[in-house]
Amino acid sequence: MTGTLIEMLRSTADRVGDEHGIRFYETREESAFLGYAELDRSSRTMAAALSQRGLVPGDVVVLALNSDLEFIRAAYGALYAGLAIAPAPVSETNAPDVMRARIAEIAAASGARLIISQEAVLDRFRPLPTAESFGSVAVTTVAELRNAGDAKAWTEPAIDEGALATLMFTSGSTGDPKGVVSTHGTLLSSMEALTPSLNGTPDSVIVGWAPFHHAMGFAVAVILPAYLAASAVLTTAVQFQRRPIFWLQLISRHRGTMSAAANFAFALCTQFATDEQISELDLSSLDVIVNGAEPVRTETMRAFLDRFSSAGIRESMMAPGFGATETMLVTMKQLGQKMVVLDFDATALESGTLKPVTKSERSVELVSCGVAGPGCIVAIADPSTGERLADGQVGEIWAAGPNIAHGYWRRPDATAEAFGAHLADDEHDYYRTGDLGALINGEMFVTGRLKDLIIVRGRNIYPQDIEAAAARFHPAVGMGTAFELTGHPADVGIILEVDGNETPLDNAELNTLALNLRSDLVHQFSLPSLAIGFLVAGELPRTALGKVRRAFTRSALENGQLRLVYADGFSPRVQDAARSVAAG
Amino acid sequence: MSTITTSAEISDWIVGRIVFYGKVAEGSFTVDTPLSDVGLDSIYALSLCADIEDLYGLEVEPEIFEEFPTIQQLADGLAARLQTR
Repeated sequence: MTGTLIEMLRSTADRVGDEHGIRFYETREESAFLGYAELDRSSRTMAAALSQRGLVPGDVVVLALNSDLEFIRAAYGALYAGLAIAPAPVSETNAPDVMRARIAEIAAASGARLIISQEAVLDRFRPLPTAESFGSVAVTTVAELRNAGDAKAWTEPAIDEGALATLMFTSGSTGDPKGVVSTHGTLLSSMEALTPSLNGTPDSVIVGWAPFHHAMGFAVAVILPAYLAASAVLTTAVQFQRRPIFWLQLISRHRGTMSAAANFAFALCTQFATDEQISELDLSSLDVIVNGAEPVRTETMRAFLDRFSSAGIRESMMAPGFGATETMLVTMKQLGQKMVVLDFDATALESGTLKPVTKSERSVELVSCGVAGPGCIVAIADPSTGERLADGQVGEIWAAGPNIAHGYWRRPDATAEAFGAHLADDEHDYYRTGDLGALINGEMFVTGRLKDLIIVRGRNIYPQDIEAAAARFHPAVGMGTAFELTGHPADVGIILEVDGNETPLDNAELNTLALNLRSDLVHQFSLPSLAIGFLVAGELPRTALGKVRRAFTRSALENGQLRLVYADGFSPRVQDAARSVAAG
Repeated sequence: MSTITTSAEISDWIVGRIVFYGKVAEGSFTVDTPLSDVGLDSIYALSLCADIEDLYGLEVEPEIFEEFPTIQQLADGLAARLQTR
């Protein structure tokens, strides 16, 4: 029996009171502290206020909050009333129109009865939003609920571990939001599975900065610290992006024992840290630093290890992991072990087999994302037949166990596609991750993705959405394919057909179109950057059925096989090729 | 500050930072190239803000790159601010 998150926080508050809690750095100097006894009290107050407003167990509230202490108060306040929470990504963008649309979309898709926000978010809207702004769903603030409620009036809702707790909306296709359904039991099971690999105890000090609407940020900041009765030290993603070293300085200053980030964060730290900054760091307190949420690169891990070894970073602390919003972390390197890095035959890999070889020009190096945590079950299946594949065979990664989400909220179609898959030789309900990998002696090697999903800095973006938005932008823009880029100034690229009947195909016109289109797409999808290439209508590679071919187009671009009439944001080689096509 | 920081010094420094960020090669751009074309995406824009803050003590937000979209314009803008403070 796993119980509820209410019982979890109440027991933590009983055990450690306000001795342990969550410290949040809004800036590099100023921090605020929220102890667990205070969090328990404020949760009872807010829950009482929510019940007074007529909300009942099972209702959904949207959290339109920055990733700060008010978010944590609101999350537990709602959970204490038996409500489920659906976080909206307000910390990801400063564009009010995008933020408003996203909140309204999540409110509608979740069937929310209330939006809990805060002044700091509402002030970003001009004019201030009204209930109509979000499809007639009422808006309140954390401050209002804390003032309105009375902790003594709270009664514990009659819910159990099967009660709905969170709906985490993936950045899913536009107009097609998918809320990942987790119960109290799901979240507690995933914490249980993580604890041994993280050496989690009440003495743990968890350091993080990932946004809370993201599964990893939510787990690390909102659930795990309270679950362990541990201390947490948090800051914002913006503080991290301004000065990546600040993350490591917090670990050093507060004797952090665990942290987690996506691969890009390790790369940024390695790139930006100065010798002087590193000489002042002491990271020897760490037990584990998880690399998850986007593909783990061995060269990034190795460079980080080299750069920060003088500050006390050891290979045993570095923990690659694999998971998704639907599963949380399902595999992770075991505590205290070295990383398992193997070289595989490149040709065998292309045909779907991981064959360990000695390093050569024809080998590919992969780092293991560890082994399945307690209670987690992973399998490799043939994605077309659903048959289990043998060790070393590359297939789709399937995951089962109490830590797996229950499906997509009110989306039986999407749920049936991804959840409840079965293997012939066991009884588990598997979630199909859409990622490709192979198991070798229980070690998970992730090799790629089945879907064309774009992952930028830990965020999932559907190429279909970017392509559709581009086509809507201007009548001259036709079919397109979007994909991730490596080795180009931009992280994401899109190749689009332009119709010469709608716009002159001269460089000045195309340049204006590209600039406007980029600003629109970057804004809509919160992309860090976007490279744009134009082809004459009819030249985009497509299948016999007329569908776009993303992987093929991407390699055609790299091989110089696309006759781009305009390019911007790609590597000099692609740019030069496009210039010579344009010159004619 | 005891010395006056000139726009030319600032633009040299910005060029150095851009090369350090590593998205474009040295010599592949000029001070009049739009910052958006030298790999100054949302993360590196925040990095450059922090770098400006740390070196010149000026608090800036990424919106500054909309006001001053090229290296030259940004250097001129920062030099003017440094003189008036």
